[in-house]
Amino acid sequence: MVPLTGNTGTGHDGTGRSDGTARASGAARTVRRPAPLHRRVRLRLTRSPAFRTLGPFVPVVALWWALAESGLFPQSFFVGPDRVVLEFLDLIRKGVLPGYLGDSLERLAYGVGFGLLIGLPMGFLTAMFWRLRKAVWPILLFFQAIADIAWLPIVIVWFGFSLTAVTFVIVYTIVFPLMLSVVAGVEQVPKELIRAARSLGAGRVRVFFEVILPGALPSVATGVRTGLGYGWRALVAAEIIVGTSGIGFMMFDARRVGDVSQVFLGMVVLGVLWYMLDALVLAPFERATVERWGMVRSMEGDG
Amino acid sequence: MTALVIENLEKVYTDTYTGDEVVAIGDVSFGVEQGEFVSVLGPSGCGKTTVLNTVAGFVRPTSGTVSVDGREVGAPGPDRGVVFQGHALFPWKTVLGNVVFGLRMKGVKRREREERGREYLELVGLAGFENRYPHELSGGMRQRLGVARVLANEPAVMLMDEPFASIDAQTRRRLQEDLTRIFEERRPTVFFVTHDIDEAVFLSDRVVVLSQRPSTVQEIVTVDLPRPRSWRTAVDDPGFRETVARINGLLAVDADRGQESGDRGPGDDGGGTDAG
Repeated sequence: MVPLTGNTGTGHDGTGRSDGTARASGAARTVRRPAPLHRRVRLRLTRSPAFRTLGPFVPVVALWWALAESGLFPQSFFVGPDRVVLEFLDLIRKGVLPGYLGDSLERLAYGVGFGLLIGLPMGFLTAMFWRLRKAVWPILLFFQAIADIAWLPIVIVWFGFSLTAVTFVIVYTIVFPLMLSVVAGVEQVPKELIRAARSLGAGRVRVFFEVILPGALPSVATGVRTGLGYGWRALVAAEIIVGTSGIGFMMFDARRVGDVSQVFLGMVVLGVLWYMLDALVLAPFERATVERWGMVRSMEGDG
Repeated sequence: MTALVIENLEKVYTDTYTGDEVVAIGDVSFGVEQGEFVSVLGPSGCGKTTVLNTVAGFVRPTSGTVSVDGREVGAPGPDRGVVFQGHALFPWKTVLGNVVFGLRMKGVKRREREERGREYLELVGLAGFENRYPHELSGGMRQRLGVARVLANEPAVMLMDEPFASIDAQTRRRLQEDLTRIFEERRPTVFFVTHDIDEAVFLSDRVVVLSQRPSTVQEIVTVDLPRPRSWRTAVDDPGFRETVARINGLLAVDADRGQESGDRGPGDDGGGTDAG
């Protein structure tokens, strides 16, 4: 909300003995005047969540539509948002899209679930034990360099065109960036915090759970985010090659029969899904933890 | 009763790159009585933080012993709470969560520890800020919280490592007065490291003046300033100014001597906790 009148600047700095006297007297000299109407309307608009979420897409969609309507490209190459929306409604009605979407999300859930289950503990183990890290680090770097897709040929030989094959690839893509970011996160925990906890009576186990775990969280959260992003991409790639269903399969199958609008729809769905995952799961989690604690600067706040 | 005894402390670091040995602490011995405020003062890089880190148990001495309440000190422990220069508060814990951390480690029940936590927040002037997070506090308030967090744990000695060094001058004065008030009220045993002569004299019962590296105890100066103390009376007090001048002289003489004998290696306290 926009403060219109009154002094809201007393904030949190007023201790009884006021460490912030200088600032308080500075604020007293500023006279507050209500903002003009047009500015208030603009502020109200730009601060509404719906506007902030959807606003940036308005010009993109407009450009897309204009490009499609201009007739620069033939319809079989490039379709406008109207055709994609129609296709979307059609596939929903037929139940194809919900089914494929469900399949894709299920695979992603398996892959991410196992990926986190393996990556997080392995990451913390590697980070905590210096000897283990020395032994494991080169191996980590080696396997990180082999692209997820490069595993597909051998994975198909091993597991066939199955859920296991797809899960394997997703787990693989998630585990390594996650481990690397956990190790980086543990290293970022200030030594003084560990010392402080020790001299307040925390043993090694408590230091781990009370200090190292939360202290590594900013980096771990970033790792989960990148891991998920990689996993999401790997999923689509795997579906294109291995798939018998799923969004990736849908897109590739549509291309085969020359249905461009379905290909476009698939791309839009991928983007929207990722955006939703971020907005509904990742971002709220970060807002409630590392941003709340002032450990990272929030993207929207004033820092 | 003597709360803290340091006997013939020596610390030698080996430079991992060149293999050279650097003597950080030559031979340091002194004691801190129970309920006494003792400051350790010395030129920068003289190893005073290393002395504190050894007492805290963060650094192992090469030789010599540190004992607290008659027991020799090894690993860090709750009997020696530390207030850090960089405050070292837990950013993911609220103000109250930080204060009760030590009590929680001891297994004190929730209601009791929160009651005691609030009491200590009140003592340092942070009542009403229980649910804030450290990043929402000013620098001065963070250090108050650091003090409250240690005192709530009721350690045998409170170790303070240049706690006010990175705080602006005006706030620092107020914090020093508050620390004095808290000390006079509660009489904790305090071991305070600083490079600020005025601060050391104002706060302390005795000031241990260290020489340049390799540090030894140059002199222990007793401060005869009546309590309760405040800056307004202290600055006009001839005893205060005299003591400050005397310590100033001691350090100046030592600095001259240091220059004559040349550079004695990297000018760092070696403990690694110097950076704020």
